[in-house]
Formats: sequence, C-alpha cells, structure tokens
Amino acid sequence: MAVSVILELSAPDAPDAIRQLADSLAQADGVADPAQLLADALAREAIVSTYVGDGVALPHARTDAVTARVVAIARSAAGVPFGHNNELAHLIVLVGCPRREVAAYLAFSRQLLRRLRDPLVRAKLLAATDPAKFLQVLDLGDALPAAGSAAP
Amino acid sequence: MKERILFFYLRGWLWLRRTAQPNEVQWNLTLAALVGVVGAMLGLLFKQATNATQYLLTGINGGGLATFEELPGWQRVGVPVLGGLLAGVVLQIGGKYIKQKPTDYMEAITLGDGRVPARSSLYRSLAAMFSIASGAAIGREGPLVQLSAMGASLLGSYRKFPPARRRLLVACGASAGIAAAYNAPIAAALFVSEITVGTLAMESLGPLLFASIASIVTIHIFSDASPLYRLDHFALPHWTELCCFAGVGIACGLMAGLFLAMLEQFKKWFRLIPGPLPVTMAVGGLIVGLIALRHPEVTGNGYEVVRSVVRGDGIWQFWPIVLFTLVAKMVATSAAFGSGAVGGVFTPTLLVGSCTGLLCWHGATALLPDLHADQAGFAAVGMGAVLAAATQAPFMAILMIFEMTLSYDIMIPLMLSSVISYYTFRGLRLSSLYHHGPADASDVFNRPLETLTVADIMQAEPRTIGPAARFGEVARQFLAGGLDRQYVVGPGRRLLGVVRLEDLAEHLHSRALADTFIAGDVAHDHPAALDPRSSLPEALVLFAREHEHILPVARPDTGELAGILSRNDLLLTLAEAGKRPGARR
Repeated sequence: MAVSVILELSAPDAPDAIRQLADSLAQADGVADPAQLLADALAREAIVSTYVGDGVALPHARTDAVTARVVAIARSAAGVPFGHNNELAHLIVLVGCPRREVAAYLAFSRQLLRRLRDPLVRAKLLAATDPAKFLQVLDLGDALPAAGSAAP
Repeated sequence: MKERILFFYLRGWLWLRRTAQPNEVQWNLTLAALVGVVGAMLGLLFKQATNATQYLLTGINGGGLATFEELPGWQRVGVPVLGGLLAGVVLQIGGKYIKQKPTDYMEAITLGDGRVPARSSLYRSLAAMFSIASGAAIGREGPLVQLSAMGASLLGSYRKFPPARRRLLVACGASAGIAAAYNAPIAAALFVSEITVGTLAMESLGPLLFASIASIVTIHIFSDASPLYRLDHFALPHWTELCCFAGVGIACGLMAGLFLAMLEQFKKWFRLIPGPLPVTMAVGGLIVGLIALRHPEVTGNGYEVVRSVVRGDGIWQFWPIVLFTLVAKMVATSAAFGSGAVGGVFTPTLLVGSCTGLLCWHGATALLPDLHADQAGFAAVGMGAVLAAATQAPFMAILMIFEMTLSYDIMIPLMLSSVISYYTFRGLRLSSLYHHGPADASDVFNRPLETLTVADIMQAEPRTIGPAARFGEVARQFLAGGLDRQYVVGPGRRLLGVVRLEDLAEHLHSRALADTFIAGDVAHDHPAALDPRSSLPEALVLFAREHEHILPVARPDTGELAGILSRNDLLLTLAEAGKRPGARR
C-alpha cells in the first residue's frame, strides 16, 4: 500500500488540502489517474463532509483512478476548515480505494479511524518529527512510503 | 442517542439473524403464525357479533338452535325473513357504493393473486352476519374464512409483498379461518393445500400448518376448543360391517351429487323471482322460516343436529325422522344459499352426510339383523364420505373427520367410504363445491407459465436509498425492510448499486464509520439485474449464476429500478406450475 506524508500542510480550505494530498500521490504505485482521484475525492467531499471530529478528517473515494489502495496523510498545525461548520482538521487522511473493494475498505477505514481517535496516538502524531516516525505511530501495517512522499 | 439505539437494535437483529439464520421460508412461517392469530381473533369477533345480532333480532340470549326452539311460531318465520331482508339491503347498498369486485367465499379461497378486497369482504361479512344470526340454514365458515383471508391480504399489501408471497399468506389466512371454525388444524391446512393451492409441497404446506396451529392456539386461549363431534365408543368393525361401509360410500357419493345439484337448481329458481335482492333474500328466509315453524332444527348450520346424531340420541332410532330431517335441511340450506345468503355450506354438508350414514345404518340393520354396528360410527363415516365427494378433496375430508371425532378406529371405514364416495361423485361428472370458476385472465396464477415475465411476479416499488444516505439511514432501512440488500438509486430511480448487509455487519458498532460513511461509499456498483421482460426460466438462470437469493429488476434501456425478485418467490410460482391451465389433467 502506497502512503505519502505531508508533515506541514498549509491549505485555506478542504478542497485545497485534498488537492495537495492527491498531488502527493500522483507518482505513487497504484494510482492510474491522479486527476480522476482528485475529482472523485472532491465530489465525495461535496456530498457529505468527511470531518470525523477531534481534529481529524478522512476524505476518501472508491474510484477507478486507483488499482490498489493508496493513502496520503497530512498534518496541519494551523488546521484546515472542513464541512459546513468549518471545523479545523489538524490530521487529514486521504484514502483512495479501488471500486471493487467494499468490505476490505470499510475494515481498513475503521482501523484507521480507531487509531486516529485515540488521543495518545493523536498527540504522538502531532509531535512526530519525521515521516518514518509518523507512520510508525500510525501503524498502518504494510505501509510503504510512496514515491514523491515528502521525505525529510 | 437515537442513532445509538437504532444501531443497538440493528446489531441485535443481526445477531438473531446470524444465530437463527432465518431465510425467507422462516420469515414466511413467522408471518403465517401472525396471520393465524389475527385470523382466529377475527373469527372470534365475528362469532360474538353474530350472537349479539341474534339477541337483538330474537330477544333471546344463548345463540344457536336453542334460541329458535324457544321462539314463538310467528317469530320463527319472521326472524329469518327480516334477516334475509337486512342481509339483502346490506348487499345491495354495498354493491352499489363499494366499487370493488365482490369476492365470495369460494373465490376468496381460490386465492387469485392474493388480493382480497377489504371493503367488499367487510360488507359481505356483515350480510353474512345478518343471515346467520337470523337462522339462515348456512354455515358460518364462509365469513370466517373470508375475514381471515382479508386480514392476511391486508398484511401482504401493507408489506408490499409480491404476488406469490401475498397469495401464500392469503392461503394461510383461509387455513387459519377453517382451523378456527372446525377446531381441525391439520385438515384446515390440507383443505387449502388440496383445494386451492393444488399441491402438497412443503413450501406452501408448512406455512399453512403454522397458520392453522397459531389459530387453534389462539382459540384455545380465548374460548372453548374441544373436538366438535367426539366419538368415544367406536370399535374397529368386523369385516362384514366393512362391506356395509362400502355401501355407505356409494350412497354418500350419490347424496353429495343430489345436494350439490339442489344448491345449483335453487340458485336458478331464485333468479326467477322478480324484485331487488332484499326481496329474493327475504323469500329465502321465508322458506327457512316456514320449515322452522315445525322443525326449528333446520335453522343455522346444523351443528347441534350433527352433534346429536353422532352422540346417538334416541330419536334417531326412528328412520323417518332421519329422512325428514335430511330432506328438510337440504331444502332449507338450498333456499338460503340459492337466495344469495353469504356463507358456507360446509357444516350443512356434514349434516347431510351424517343423516345419510344413519339411513345406511337403518338399512343395514334391517337387512342384517345380526349386525351389531355402531349407529354413531355410520353417521361419522357418512359425514366424511359426503364431504370427500362434495369437496373432491378426500384426503382433507378423512383427516377432518378424524380431528372432529378423535377416534382412530374410525379411520379404516372412513377411508373406505370416502374413497368410494369420491369416485362415485366423479362418475356423476358434476362440479365440486369448490370448483374454480372461469379463469380470470388478468390473474397471474391463471396464466400459462410460458407467458409470465419477471415483471408479473416481482415485488414492485421496493425500498431504495440515495447515494448520499448516511450510515444511520441505511441501517434504518435495513431494519424496516427486513431484507439484507439495499438498492441505491439516482435520479429517475436509476439503479446505481446495492448495499449488502454482510459488508456492514461487522462495522455497525463503529460510531466513527457511521458518522463518516454514506451509502455511495459502501455500495457495490452495477449489480446484476433482471430484465422485467425476462421469462421465469431466464430469471432462474441468473439466480443460479449470481448465487444471490434476491435480485433487482431494472429496465435495460433506462436502468430504472422496477422492482426486486427473491428466489423463493420465483420457486413458489414455479411450484404451482402443475396446476395451471394446459398443465391440468
């Protein structure tokens, strides 16, 4: 699974944050059509906000633009406003998943959400100094840094 | 908070599903039991209402034959006339203002596509109530079955069931009604199976038995439910006596033919009477009343008389009384039935049978003075034999008499006479009591199988959700719909995908997912769908290929979701294939 990490994200709004995350995956294995991935994630975000609370947002798309699951994670100290209430998300995780996957996608998202909602994990993530440490804390299993990931 | 409760329920429901793994058949059984309880309650209600009406008409509280025996002469004539008049008025007004195709009891149990019109059933039952309360010589099982079938049909329509399942539910209603009327659950299920569904396949017999049992249990709880005509002292007869029972079979077959011919003939005669329906029905009441003037026992369905015959009361030792009672009852029932009174002729048929059996006993003991035959046994066997012939359902008849008398020793002579009687009647080439009228071409279940399409048997207008529906809404729909599939549709009801409960099952307690995910996130795209114009065998092929127990039906040109079809409904429809025109003997 390809994963990219942006430790210092600065974005005025959710669509811009999602665009930056999708861009970070442009060269990643499993991404067939980066533009489509971005379009699908934005379309999904437009239906119902993916802000889940506690400063975490999980924009996602089941899309034909990817052939395998891909994840892009961003940290924003200032926060990015999400949803109608403009709640500030400090941890933003974009998940792209092939359309054929449903059960595995749900299971993965749930595991991810469980980690992100843990205050201890969040504190460690916000304090992590490099992407490797960041991924180690998040513990996504078979995560591999995506090509083009913002390595230190 | 509300959502938490919802997910709690859904998880509980899922746990139940997984533990019990109920399939559609088990759901059908559950609904059948519900229909049974409702049917029995409606039956009890009808009985109470009839007794109350009888009190209003006669001023005597008691019900049944005893009431009429207490009445002075003028009332014995007046009450049936008044009752016929009232029933006629109800039928006339109902027919004028309620523009529903009236079904009578016979039609209600031929099932059709499982739609029993509620308002016309109600006004016809009201008419039946007046007829029965005023002593019309007619059975009360008609309205009991009709009301029970109506209850089942309403449930089927409320749940928007497809025709096959709605039809099965109505059959369950009829079965519950008969079980409640005769305290004979097995025979009731077989009655409906043998006569109306036309098959003894477990797919339909199982739910029918369930409905019968639920109905009987309900009756047991709320009223007295002992066997109607208990026979205690009957012993397995000697072989010479068995030969006599063969004779009973022939006599009963012929008598059934005569009785049915009389019913038809009186119908024709009553059509000749000028004037509106209330007048015709009042004339029917007048005939019953005039006979009742000297012989009140002809009023009502004849239950008390049959009881007395089977009990072996002294007066029946005198054969002219038996013969007279038989003829008088046949005339009175034909008059009530022919004049258009709503009701059944089941118990009157039993009375004809018991008197015929008794006459045979008189004949046999006169010819063979050494014969020590049991009088009550002959009467009970006669009941079964006439019933087997008139209904052309011998298996049901045998079991019904067994359940009514609870005598096992009677089985051998009963079977012998019933089978002989059945074939004797068939030799007469008459229509049975429950013959099917001309087939209604619009009725799915009367059409040849090869002309049926998926659209004819599918469940139209299924529940759907939009792609933006939240997890909570999806969960609510799963609970409300009772299915483990949710169909996601876009504008114009275009089928977009299907949400499968098994995908979500493990994640239902995840609040985070519930907040974040929508139907579109978890739906499978482009699910295999049936074409509404497909034939049933084509549908079967798709079911086999997809390993699905339920499939959406979508129009191939627009993609619009037209309905859903379950494999069980398809199989239920195919199971009755042998009964269809063309496939029939």
